[in-house]
Amino acid sequence: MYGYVVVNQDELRGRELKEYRRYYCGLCHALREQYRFAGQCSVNYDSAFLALLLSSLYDLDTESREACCMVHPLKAQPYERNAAIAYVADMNVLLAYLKCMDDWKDERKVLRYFYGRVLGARGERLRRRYGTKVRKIFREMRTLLRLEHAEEEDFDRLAACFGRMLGEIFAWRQDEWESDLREIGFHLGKFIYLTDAYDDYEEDLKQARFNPLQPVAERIGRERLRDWVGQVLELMAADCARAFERLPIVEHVEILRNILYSGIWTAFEKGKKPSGKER
Amino acid sequence: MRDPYAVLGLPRTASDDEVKKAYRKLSRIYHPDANINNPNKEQAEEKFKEIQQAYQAIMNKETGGAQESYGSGQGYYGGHYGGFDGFGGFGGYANGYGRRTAQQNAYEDDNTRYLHVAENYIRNRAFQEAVNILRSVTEHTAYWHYLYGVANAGLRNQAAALEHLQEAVRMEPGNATYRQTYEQLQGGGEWYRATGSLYGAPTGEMNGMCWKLCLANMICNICLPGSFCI
Repeated sequence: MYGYVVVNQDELRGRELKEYRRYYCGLCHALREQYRFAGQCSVNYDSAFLALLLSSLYDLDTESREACCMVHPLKAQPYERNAAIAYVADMNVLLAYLKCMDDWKDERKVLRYFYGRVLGARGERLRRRYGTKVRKIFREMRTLLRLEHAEEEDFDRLAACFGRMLGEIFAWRQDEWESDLREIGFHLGKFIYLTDAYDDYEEDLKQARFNPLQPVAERIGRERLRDWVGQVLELMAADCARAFERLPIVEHVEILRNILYSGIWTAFEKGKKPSGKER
Repeated sequence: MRDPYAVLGLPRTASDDEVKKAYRKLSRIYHPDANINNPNKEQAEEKFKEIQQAYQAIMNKETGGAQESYGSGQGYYGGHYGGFDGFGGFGGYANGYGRRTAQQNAYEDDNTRYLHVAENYIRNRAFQEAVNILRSVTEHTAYWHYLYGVANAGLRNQAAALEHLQEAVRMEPGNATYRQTYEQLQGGGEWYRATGSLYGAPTGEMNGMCWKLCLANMICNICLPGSFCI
């Protein structure tokens, strides 16, 4: 997807990195099994984070396996499988599809196409299991695209669409953790949306494409944009982390904290490095 | 409810981690899913609710008074989030809108009236209503920016909250209330930054994790052009 929700590898212990890999690989295997090679291509760090988060929150029947794969053809790599990973694999496919879609005149048509042509036989299973969730996600995406086409000036309004979409994905089950998970997804979604908007800013300007930060830059001045983005990102990240700390997570908590307190800043911090170009 | 720590079987000096571990252990025993075939499942469910409430009571106090200052997760979609409560009950009006005489009320223009209504909404935590009414105000004074920023902070609209509180401070740098409120908004960030320092600054390096898979991704895009590669 976007690949912003990553680990800060330098700060993780070797053992923790191995643990993280087991979930990333688990997701990859689940995608391959459920959606074949095309599904496997959509594996990404953002989804791996959610798989790890849900696996740490819930006591799930988890199977540890080992297998060789395309990337590791000689030495079998350990990986995990459980219900959370299977769920994230399903959502991952959905998100990958959403990323491709530009034309959203009729959300019902798009949904039908997704279930029918793209997923084929698997579409029915997804619709049965997550029909309401998928519809809500599609609806938010459509609203977001409509606002972007209309060049919406209220940044929060745009970011909130994406946030609600991710919140819907994070809220796996209707249980006592639904609202906390939804909140984590909401603020993380806003963080991702803002990071992505900032990442694309220069290029969009060059290509005369709408960027959600253009109205902001016009209001506060281009030279203040980076500082503004940094401050808002921090507020979003703080809200996300606060909700995360409310969850009774014990296992893998250091990996998850590594991601939420450090790793997610990787893309934004990259802009600061003297690569010959000050962003 | 009795002492939440006692419900979880912990001393009051228990750490966050100990609270979480205790919760998980008890949850495994009393969770409804674990007691489907239990003849005493009603008692188990009651006990589970008690455990859940105790946990929430402790954690919501622990996370910097999340319930008090930044609210719970309820209705965060733009409803009554609980919000940003650091204004001393919102009595500190910099421009003295507090007490109004009947005469003043008679002569106030639309804008002043809207601001007055917005203040009430904010005091009652009806942040979306406050935002709506503030949008009708035609004159954007420093005070307007302050109220608009506060209302947006209540809705977790971080961008608008920051922008408008910053503008209020910029327009009236001598105003202590605006400055304090702005600093309070940023206070949440301070806690986050302090914790974040334990996890190091990212280096901007995103190597090796599965760079080979990225390569595979690229191959995928070349080999299957035009088809929907999910």
